[in-house]
Amino acid sequence: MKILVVDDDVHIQKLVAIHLNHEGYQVLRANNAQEALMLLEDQTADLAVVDVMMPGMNGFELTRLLTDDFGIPVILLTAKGQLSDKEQGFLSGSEDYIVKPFEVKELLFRIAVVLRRAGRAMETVVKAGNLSIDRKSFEVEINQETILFPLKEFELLSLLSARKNKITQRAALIEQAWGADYEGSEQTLNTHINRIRDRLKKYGATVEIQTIRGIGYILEETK
Amino acid sequence: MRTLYRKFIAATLVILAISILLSFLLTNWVYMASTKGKIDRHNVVIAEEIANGLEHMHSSGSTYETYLNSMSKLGYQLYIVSESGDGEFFGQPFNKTDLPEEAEKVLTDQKVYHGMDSFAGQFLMMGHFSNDLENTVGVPFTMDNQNYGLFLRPDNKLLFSDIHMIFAWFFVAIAVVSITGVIWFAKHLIKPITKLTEATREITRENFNFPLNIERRDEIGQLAESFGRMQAQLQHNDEARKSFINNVSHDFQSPLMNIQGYAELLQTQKLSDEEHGEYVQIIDQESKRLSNLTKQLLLLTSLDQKSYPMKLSEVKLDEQIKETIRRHQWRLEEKEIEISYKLAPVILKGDPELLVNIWDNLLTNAIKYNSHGGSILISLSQTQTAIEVVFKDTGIGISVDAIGQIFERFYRVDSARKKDGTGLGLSIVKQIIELHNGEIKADSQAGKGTTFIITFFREKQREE
Repeated sequence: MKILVVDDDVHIQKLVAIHLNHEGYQVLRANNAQEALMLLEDQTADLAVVDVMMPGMNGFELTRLLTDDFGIPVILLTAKGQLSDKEQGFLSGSEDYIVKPFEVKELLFRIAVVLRRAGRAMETVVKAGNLSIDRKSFEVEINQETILFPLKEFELLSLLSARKNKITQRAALIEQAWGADYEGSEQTLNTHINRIRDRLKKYGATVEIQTIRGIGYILEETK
Repeated sequence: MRTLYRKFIAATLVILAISILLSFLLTNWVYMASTKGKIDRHNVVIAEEIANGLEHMHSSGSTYETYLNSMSKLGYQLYIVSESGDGEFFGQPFNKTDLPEEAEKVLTDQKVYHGMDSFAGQFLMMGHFSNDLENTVGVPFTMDNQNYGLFLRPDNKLLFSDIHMIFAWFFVAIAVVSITGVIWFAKHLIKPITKLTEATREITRENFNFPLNIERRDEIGQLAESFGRMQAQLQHNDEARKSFINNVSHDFQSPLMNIQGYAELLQTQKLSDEEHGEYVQIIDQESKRLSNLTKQLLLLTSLDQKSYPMKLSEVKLDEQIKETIRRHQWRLEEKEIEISYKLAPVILKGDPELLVNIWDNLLTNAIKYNSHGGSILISLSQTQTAIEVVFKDTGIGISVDAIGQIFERFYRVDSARKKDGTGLGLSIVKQIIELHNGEIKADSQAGKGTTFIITFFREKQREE
């Protein structure tokens, strides 16, 4: 995964780059919009982190170019309390935004979310029983109550719901939640599924996850 | 204080003088208008009777002198004048013995002379006491076929009778009693004031325990009472300020000491990678804590100013809370905390930046003090009169003893201060909520979790 970081503050640029490298991402660094566009002439990026306040072309204009012309999802960095920035950011097509000063962990989390979303070709909202799963905002709604599941549980539940009444194999679920190169134990999946079951019960969901021994799981509506 | 005494006495004397002057003028007016004429007529009657006596009983030349002498002893001053101009005085002598032309008509025209009525002395009413021949009444009479004039006025001694002296003493007594009364009363008034002055001086010396012992029901009593309340409040403020300073210096010093200490270790010692990482982490945590503390202190002190300039606008609370959740999602993910919310679309007129602080603090607490894999429930609803926000977590909870104090500044349940809190978060939350005409209540069970309920009252709907 390659991430483009555009910020005129060299220290922030470096800090973000170090953390991204550490997480296993490749990083392209640019001081301003012109530099970023030059870099993209012979390279590609999966995601861009763009600061709003930059000399020359500002972050919004760059975002529009990146999303429209290059199809690269953008996370905007905005200053604190600039509400109009947020709206303008979405208008210019950014996927997400982060308010400065931010914690690096927050940025990593948002990057992970945007990358997951970008790689998905399924319907945005999936319905099963009284469940409504918004795959864009990562929200699950049951009886008008919104629940934010931990990310991995969300991935599992959304795949099972999208394939409701069909058996989903363990391997597919593991790939969806942890990625293809997952090397953890099979037990982890069981634990997560159990937790999902507890939560569904707690919020009165009218669906149930059944275990199909040796194969996988199936989500069914209950009456 | 002497001056107050002096002022009281001077004021009493001035009032006495003014009242004397005014009553003098008033009685004078009465005297001029009616009394004077009456006295004159009264004396004319007496004079006529004496003249009558002379005409009928004592017309023989030798006896009338004894008669008139005895009359004068009754308290009259008499003067008899004949047509030839020979005059004779009986009783106390007059000071001035001139007679005006008017008086001659007694002899020439047989007309009564009203000298007492027309006499105008220098001091108005005091003219009444002028021992002058002019200040008499005169009546004509005949004796031995000769026309005479009898002029008469009562002797001043008669005027100043004993009863008059008694009255005079009566007035002196009134004056003396009222002046001593005023002095005593002034003392009574001034004593507590002197005491209050002393107490004020003690307060400047930071002694808030000076006893007043003023038990009165008047305005001074009220003053003393509110002064006592002020003393108590000042003492409270002073203590609060001192403990605030103590807390601040402690809370600033300890992270600084840690940073210094571990930074020194990193510089001088040969450390294993593990130790190195650990020390760096401590420095990181402590600097974050300091930064947080500074931010919160700044906010708190600016909120303390009576008129915090709130930038009011229509705030969509549901969006704001959702946004706050979004910003903390990575923390929720890290601790595998499940968060659920029911947020009705609610608009509150308030300061958006301040309101965000409430959600931020409450959510941070709910995450920080939650157990791994726990859950958080947030709900937002409104009625006609109020907006209610509930933050419920399944964390470690707060003990009954501690729950009353959690909104106090620098109070921390975790007395060992292991978590990176500052002890200011909830007092900031409370203050912001109160600025928005609301209240916050906490309900908790140790080990099970805590619920914070915030109520914002719609304008003027709050029951006081």
